[in-house]
Amino acid sequence: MPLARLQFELPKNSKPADYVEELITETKLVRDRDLEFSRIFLDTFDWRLFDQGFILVADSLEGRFRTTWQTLYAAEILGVLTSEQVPIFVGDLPGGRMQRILRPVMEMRALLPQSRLECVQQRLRLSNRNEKTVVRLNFESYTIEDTHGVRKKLCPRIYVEAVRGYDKAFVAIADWLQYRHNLHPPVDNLMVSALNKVGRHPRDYSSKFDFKLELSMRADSAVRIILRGQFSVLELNEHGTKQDIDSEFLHDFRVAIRRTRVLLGQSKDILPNALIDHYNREFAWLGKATGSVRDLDVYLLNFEGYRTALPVSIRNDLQPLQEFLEAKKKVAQSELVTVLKSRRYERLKKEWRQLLARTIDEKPFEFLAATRVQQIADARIWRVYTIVRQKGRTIGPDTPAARLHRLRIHCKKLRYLIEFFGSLYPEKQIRRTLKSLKELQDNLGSFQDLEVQVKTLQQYSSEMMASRIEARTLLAMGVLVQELEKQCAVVRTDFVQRFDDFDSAENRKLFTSLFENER
Amino acid sequence: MKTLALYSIKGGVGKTAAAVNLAYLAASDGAKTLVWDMDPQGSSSFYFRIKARVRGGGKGLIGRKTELDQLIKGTDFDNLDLLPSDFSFRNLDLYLDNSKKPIRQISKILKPFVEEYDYVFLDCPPNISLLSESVFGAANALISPIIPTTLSIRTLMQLEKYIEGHTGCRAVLLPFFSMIDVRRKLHREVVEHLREDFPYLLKAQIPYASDIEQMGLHRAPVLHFAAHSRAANAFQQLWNELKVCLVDL
Repeated sequence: MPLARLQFELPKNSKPADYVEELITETKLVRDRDLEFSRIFLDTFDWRLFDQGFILVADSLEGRFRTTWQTLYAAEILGVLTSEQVPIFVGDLPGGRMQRILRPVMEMRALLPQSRLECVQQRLRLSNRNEKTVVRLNFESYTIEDTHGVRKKLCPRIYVEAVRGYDKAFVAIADWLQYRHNLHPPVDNLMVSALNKVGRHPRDYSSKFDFKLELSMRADSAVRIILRGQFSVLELNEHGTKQDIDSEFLHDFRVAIRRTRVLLGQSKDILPNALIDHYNREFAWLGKATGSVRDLDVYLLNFEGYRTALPVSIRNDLQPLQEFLEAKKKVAQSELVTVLKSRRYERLKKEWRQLLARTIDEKPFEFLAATRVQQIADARIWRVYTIVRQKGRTIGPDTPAARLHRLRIHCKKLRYLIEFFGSLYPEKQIRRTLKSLKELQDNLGSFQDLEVQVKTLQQYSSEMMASRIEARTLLAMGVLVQELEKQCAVVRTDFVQRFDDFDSAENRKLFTSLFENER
Repeated sequence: MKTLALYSIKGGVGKTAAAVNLAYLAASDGAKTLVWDMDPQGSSSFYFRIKARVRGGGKGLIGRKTELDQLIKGTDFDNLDLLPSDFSFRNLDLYLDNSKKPIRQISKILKPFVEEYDYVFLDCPPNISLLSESVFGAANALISPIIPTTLSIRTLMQLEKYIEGHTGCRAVLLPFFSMIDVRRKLHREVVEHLREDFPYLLKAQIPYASDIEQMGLHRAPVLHFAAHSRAANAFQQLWNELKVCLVDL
């Protein structure tokens, strides 16, 4: 049961002290020591808590942090953590309910300070005959610093906090504020008000693809819009990738590179071909430089799964593998940072930014540049869709893994193309095209991951043997490889069903109706 | 949700002090915690400054005529709630005896709170009765304070035997030494002797300390008003040890 809390916003120029004095005179409320502290609003980079209607608020009090888990709109308190450090990962939150609910929301993402304000809190409480607190009132005044270092004030707020089982006092105080002083709840959550004050808003980053293209748009214009969007994602994730804040920064950074490359590959005769070749090379170089860290991130993210795949008696024997992976990751991360600080990368960004900012030519040289975007989208999606179907149909139980890998890449291209141009088509039907494609991709992705993991683990065990690793660790790794091979076989068997679903008559009809028109 | 019963056949061994301080520590870790003061003396309720009275009494509670949700009170501490005691709890055995499947009653009463609380501490009255059986059926662990006297050996053995012969008990017995006065030779000898015979006794031991007695004056857990005291430190060690034991329960 969440802790009931009411919030009221005070009029712009009013002083909380006036209300405090009046309350103390008229009621038996007791005043506690005022507090001054920093309040930090925590969420993941991509606002996962906000999306689920939650918020984590960390108050820095006397060298410790009191972090409250609140509902976004009602500001009810769902849980409290007092700790020396601000929680970063879900594992830093209290085990039990808070972790159980927030783990699937946050997954591997780190909590970041999305906004910070300075708070002066005047605290009142009402006690009963046993000196037991039965209701709390906090009068809060805030200042926030904008990006230029200018301090701005926010409207003060009052929070009335119920103590479970003592509703009468809560209702009486709430009525006093609401009816006697005609105070109203604020329109926005405090974090939203704080962000707005400095010109920001929640969800100002999302890794999801949401562009709205217009049917009448020229192909070169649409391609530039999408490429600009991908470049923005890449730049936004660069800092987190360099700092290794969490593994999703690099993931999103890599997805932006891949999407850029896929679109460049599909932009022949829309953008200058020499330019496509050059930037395809440069982004391929960048993508390759990020590969090792991502592979190691995947192993480390899967590590708990590896452990639990083993019999309980040998789970701990796998520990040296984790240490080995972490050490390897450290080296790979440092190499990646070198690349991200290199002149080549800086030049790539500078030139690419300038190119994307250029206005489009009225009379372009490339013969498809001025074509209507939908015509291009239809043709490109249909072509890749046909390739996926053709290649998928030739895959049997003995087909080499490399061909499934190639099919996976075609599926990825198809997925990106549908996402790039999805806004040109009816939303509901686009969602349907993606459903079975996503399932097929998941299957092919799992197969590829497991295949690579088996090979890499075998390679790692050779490397670890050189550093005199204990035999029991090698044995545990052997058992793990067997387990992964079993899982790989199951996934491979499941491919037939996943592909049949994708290649179903209903799905073919859907793809035909949407994309075949201009073929 | 993990249900931990502070239980002993003997009275005056430090059950309530342990329940209050361990629950405070669990809540300080950020876990949503409930203390159910089952003892009609209402000491836990007193320590949390909450009136020992329950609307509908024990009869309403066991018969589930009163919604438990309506009876829970928030303490002055984050994450920590209390289901207060009531003088009618002296008759809980009678009410249980009149109910269907009495041994499952406590478990059933707590069922709606499985999602809400991470820990429930049952501060049990000192006896061995139908209520104890119902507690055994609901608890994941029986945390039992043992004072270092010769009689304690007998009590611990009695409890062990009782649990072994009790098919409805799913709880693990986790005894610890309580109210130890290391200046007393007898205490030192009994501790040494019992540790040999009962190797599963928890390592942490709670001293006989005036800080614990002062809980009555402060009406708060030791950890709140004397956070750096020897007693507070001992409860912290006990909680750390218990958390490890509770992982697999």
